[in-house]
Amino acid sequence: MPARVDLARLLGRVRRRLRLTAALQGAVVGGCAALAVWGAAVIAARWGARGSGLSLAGATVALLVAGLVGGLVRRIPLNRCARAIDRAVGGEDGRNGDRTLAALSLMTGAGAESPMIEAAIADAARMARSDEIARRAAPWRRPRGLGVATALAAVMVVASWWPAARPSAAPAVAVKRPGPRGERLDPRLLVAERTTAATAAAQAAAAKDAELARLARELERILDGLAEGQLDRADALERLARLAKEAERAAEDGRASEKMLQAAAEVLEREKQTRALAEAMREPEESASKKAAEDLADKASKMSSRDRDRLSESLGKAGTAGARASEQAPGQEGRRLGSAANQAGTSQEGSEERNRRLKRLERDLSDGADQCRENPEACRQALKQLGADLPDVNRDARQSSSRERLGKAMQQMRERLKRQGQSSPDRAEDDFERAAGGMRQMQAGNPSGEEGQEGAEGAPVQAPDSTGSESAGAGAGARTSASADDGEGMGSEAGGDPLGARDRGKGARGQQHEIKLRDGAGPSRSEVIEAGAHKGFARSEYERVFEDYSAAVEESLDTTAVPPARRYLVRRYFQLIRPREGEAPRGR
Amino acid sequence: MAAEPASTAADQFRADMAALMEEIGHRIVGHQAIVEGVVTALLAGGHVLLEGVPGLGKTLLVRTLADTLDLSFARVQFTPDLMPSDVTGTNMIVDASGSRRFEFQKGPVFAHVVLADEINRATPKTQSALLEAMQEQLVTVGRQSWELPSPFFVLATQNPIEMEGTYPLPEAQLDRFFFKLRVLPPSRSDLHAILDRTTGPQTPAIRRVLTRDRVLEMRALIRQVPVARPIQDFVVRLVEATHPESSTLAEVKKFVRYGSSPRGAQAILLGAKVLALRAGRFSPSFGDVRQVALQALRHRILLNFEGEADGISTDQILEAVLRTLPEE
Repeated sequence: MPARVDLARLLGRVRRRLRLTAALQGAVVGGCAALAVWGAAVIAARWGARGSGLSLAGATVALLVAGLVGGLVRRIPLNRCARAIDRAVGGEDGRNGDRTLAALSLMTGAGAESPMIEAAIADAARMARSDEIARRAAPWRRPRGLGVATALAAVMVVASWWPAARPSAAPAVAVKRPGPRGERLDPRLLVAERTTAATAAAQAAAAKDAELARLARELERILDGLAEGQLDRADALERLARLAKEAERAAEDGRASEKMLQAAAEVLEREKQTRALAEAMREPEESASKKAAEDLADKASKMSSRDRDRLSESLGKAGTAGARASEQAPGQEGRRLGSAANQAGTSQEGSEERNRRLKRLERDLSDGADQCRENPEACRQALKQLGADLPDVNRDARQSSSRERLGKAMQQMRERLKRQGQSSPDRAEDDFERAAGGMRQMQAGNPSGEEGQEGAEGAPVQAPDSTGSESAGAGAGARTSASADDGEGMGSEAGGDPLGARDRGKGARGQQHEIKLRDGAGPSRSEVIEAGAHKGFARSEYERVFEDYSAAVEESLDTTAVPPARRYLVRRYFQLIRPREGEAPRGR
Repeated sequence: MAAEPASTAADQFRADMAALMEEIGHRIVGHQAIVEGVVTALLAGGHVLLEGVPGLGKTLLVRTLADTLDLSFARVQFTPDLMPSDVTGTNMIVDASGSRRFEFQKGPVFAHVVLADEINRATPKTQSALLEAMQEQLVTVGRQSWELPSPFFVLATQNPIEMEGTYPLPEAQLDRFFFKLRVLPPSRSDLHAILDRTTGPQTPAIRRVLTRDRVLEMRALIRQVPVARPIQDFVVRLVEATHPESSTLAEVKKFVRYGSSPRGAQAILLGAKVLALRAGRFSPSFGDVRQVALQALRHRILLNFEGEADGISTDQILEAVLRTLPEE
């Protein structure tokens, strides 16, 4: 017991010292606040304001005392004191092996007392017996900022006593209020966008879609800024372009989710057992798919082995079809290859999260297929997991049209602003350029050649990969597929097709594979394989070879030769290198 | 409540452990961390998986450990044609006083210290026979069960490079090993010492340091070591941080498929208790936890395809977790 008392006393001493140090620090902070008040009073006096010196002194003292008291009542946990003691005692790891922290926890813990606990407490008390420990654990330190506060106080004293010029002699200084940065727009012109933003916000609240809510909020903020003249045209254009891109990206993700759900549901409804799940996946009500998956999970645990095999097969096919459909959705390929460079901030996080959700659903279906083949309980768990993940993907899919509408509204707003800001000749030139772009498209038979002309402003019209991804050294509009919607303007390198179309010399052999590099690190191996599957493996010969190999692999996986833990890796590898329909590079 | 007997018991523990390690050090050169890991697992009541290329002294270490303990020792060389009954034993017909009856002939697993050499060369069926014995400390043949002697300590070895013709242990079975220790090649000075000791006329003699009862006493003492709540909380958060669902670390989310099981937390805490007693403390510290975390968790984390393809090791993941996880 004496050990407990000794340790408690020591902890108390350290806490008191830490509290005093905190009080001094608080007093310095209060002093700085008092100096600020004092400074304001001196400036006000120089401008002719009259005030009582007594009230100023009172305010100064009150701030000092408030800082001091604030420091004194600050909460100092005993754990912090214990760690300070451990650091002061030192030891083999320079921290006394956390003896005091452990002893404190054992003293205050609810566990039964034992000789070992007593020994631990006695040991901690013995190690910290020295009188010097409290001083070393919480040494007196000069409060931070004391030097600066003292110097400021000295300056204030001098400034207070310095003879001031008479206020009347002082030249009148026109204090300019910060005015609006740009011209105000008539609020009536913004009614349509405001309605769209409000509708989107309401839809986001109803569907709990954080991304849509954020975009609607941002649009409202821009509209407020324009209406109040706080936002100039260039800023507004830039912000609208960014937001429109984010909305488009979010809509693309939603469409990918929709396509995946549709493809998976089509496969699932072919099997009697999974028909209900397929129907629920098509329903707008998010909880329906979860409930259907859970019902199926309960049924699966009671199914015969043959039925489970059929279920497993159906889930496996649904997973493959879903994965294929989501990857073929517009914008998804470029996203996967260049996500790191192409997106930023919140938008990137949101997109990554949505991508993760798709991957998770894909994995759930694949896991379901694996587990249902092996045992009923694991099958049940896998289907429950599928049920838990389905509503999120469903929500993404339902919101794609709202996001798209919002993106279009932003784009229209931007176009209008851009045109309002142009002088008449500029506007005519712009119209001419637009018309010329259309002509070039017709000549090149390329419906998206406009991208090359509108690149300087980052117009949201996206060029497919083949129209700008591979021209070496871009003229106007040559860009990589990963940055097709970035709008970086005129290219900096000589040569290349001015419209950004693929230009391969007649004598050229082989093919170019573009792999988007991550900042500094280079692509990971899985990304290289994935990129290869998109760009290099999508041809009929490869498809045939792949089918042969994957059939042989599936057969091998079903034997015991491959350990169960490794089967996932083999399947994942083949999933990554599988041929993708309709993605064969041109010119083959 | 007197602290003196506990203090004396802890001092005795420290002395015995030091004597055991010193005795092993007479024959084993270097590999201080491996020896410490093996002894820690022995005293904490766990089994050890030693991984290293051939010729690094894994088998010698186990033999030396058995020599220093007054315990029975058996070695099983795992091969693809080894059957479960070769490990556990089998019923045999015996002719006694004119009548024939079945009698159970105990296999090599009925020893205190069992060396399962090259465990990944046997078929999963045989591996699971041993691993079941490790977990339950019981062998069941037919309708009868036989209890294994206590203490029962299995040291399994495996070679990480010759993967052809092997059956890697599944994750569920790896989880039953308390520690996985990586045996690395010796340094130049250690290699000199090995040559001096092994190519001369005499090999160093080993004396028995601990009896069976003493090992059991030491195991019981470890269970009595109290753990402070902040330390236990750190262990729990550490194990949680290896799970991609609950971790905030990008490496874990990107490369880990499954995190450690609760057995990982048990192994860390028991290992930390042994280290605390060895250091003369009565309760483990954050440092003890950090010291055993790699050995206890590296085989309990399953990487995903991206992790395997990028050549990430579980040690790298764990080091990142330990670096970023706050103690409080």
